[in-house]
Amino acid sequence: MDVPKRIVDDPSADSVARALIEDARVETAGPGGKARTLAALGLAGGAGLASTSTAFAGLKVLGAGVLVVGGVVGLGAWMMTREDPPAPVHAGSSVIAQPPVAPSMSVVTPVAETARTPDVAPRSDAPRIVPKSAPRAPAAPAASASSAAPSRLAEEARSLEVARRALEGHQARSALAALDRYERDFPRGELRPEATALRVEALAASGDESSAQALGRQFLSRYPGHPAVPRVRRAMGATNF
Amino acid sequence: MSPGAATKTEEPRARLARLVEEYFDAVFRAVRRFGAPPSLADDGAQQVFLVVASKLDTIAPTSERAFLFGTAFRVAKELRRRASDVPRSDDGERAVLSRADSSPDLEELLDRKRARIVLDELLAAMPEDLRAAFVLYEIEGLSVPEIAEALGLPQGTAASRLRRARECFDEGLARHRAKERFRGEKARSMANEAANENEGGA
Repeated sequence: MDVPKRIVDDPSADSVARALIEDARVETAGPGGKARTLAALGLAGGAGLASTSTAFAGLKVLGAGVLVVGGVVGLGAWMMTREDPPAPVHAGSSVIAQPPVAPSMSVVTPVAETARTPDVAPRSDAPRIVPKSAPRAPAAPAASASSAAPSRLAEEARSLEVARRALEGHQARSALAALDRYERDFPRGELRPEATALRVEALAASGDESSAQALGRQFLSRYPGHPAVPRVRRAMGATNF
Repeated sequence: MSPGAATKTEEPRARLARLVEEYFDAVFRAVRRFGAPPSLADDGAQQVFLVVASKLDTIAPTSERAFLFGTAFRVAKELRRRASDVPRSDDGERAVLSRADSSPDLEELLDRKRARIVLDELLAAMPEDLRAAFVLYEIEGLSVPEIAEALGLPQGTAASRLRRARECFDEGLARHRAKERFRGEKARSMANEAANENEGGA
């Protein structure tokens, strides 16, 4: 198999090309990106692999900006991932009677199938969401984020993946139905901010502009440092934000 | 298997955390270089790891990198599609400038900014299939079998794309140089004209 030498290893390669590639190889994500992802996955306080500096970066982004130690890292994760019980934004009649997501959309693997919650009719009071302008202090800071069983986190992620795939397939109503199921199955899920961002996009894609705007504003107010903010803004922009 | 790949006994949470720790920057870069808008690259990287979390029990230890970058490719494609529905902002500028904290001085920052803008232009001019292979091989250092697995291709096809991608990149760089030369000559010519006019008027 004839494969070209990598540019950085090829002495005959153009020096400018080599410089461009070498620079691209050392580019890193923005500050706090990794910490936010660990927090979003409920891993910031419990896995023992997140570096202190990374965790601090996450806290900085979250506005906790004070000197903190050890277990307080878990507070950052909690603040990033927790929501209060949702409050209705609108009656959302357009998403009440959604059909279940088509089986072909499911990304659930055979192994995971056994742990999957059964499909039921979507909730009639959705879409729901968001909360107060500032999160409350948690009663048990690190525990909520770090004690979620891996299988439960995986279930959550799978549930959202169904919604995301539906959205990718331009099936906004199916995405909303999947998000309804997510909210029903994981009322205090670790991934609720991501679910909310997806709902804003799905509402916008379904043509429910006023709900997308209202939910988007709530998301931006509650999660100003969340990585999905640009995506939410774009979805809102698509509905004349 | 990559250096930090999972062992049979690795606990799922620890494995997921390790993958984020080891690969977040690489996934971010890949999402970015696959063409996602810069302002969405952070979010794209996070989405990749959400997908990983949802399928962790099905990802073979030997396929971790291929899975991560294959997912990054699909996420970037989707972000690009969604972003194309909405007017662009000054995405590139902000993304580069947001990294100011990692650059020692303004000059280096500007050099990097210019380099990344040029690279973005060269990559944007490549067909998507060639671009993906090029990014994975040249920037992320994947092997041909890994690229084939990530993109769902036979190895021969992956190798062939790499060859064409390299040609395409070299041609793009040559065109870029020609354009720069033209701009430089035009600027010099305008400066000369202005100087002549001044002399004539004096």
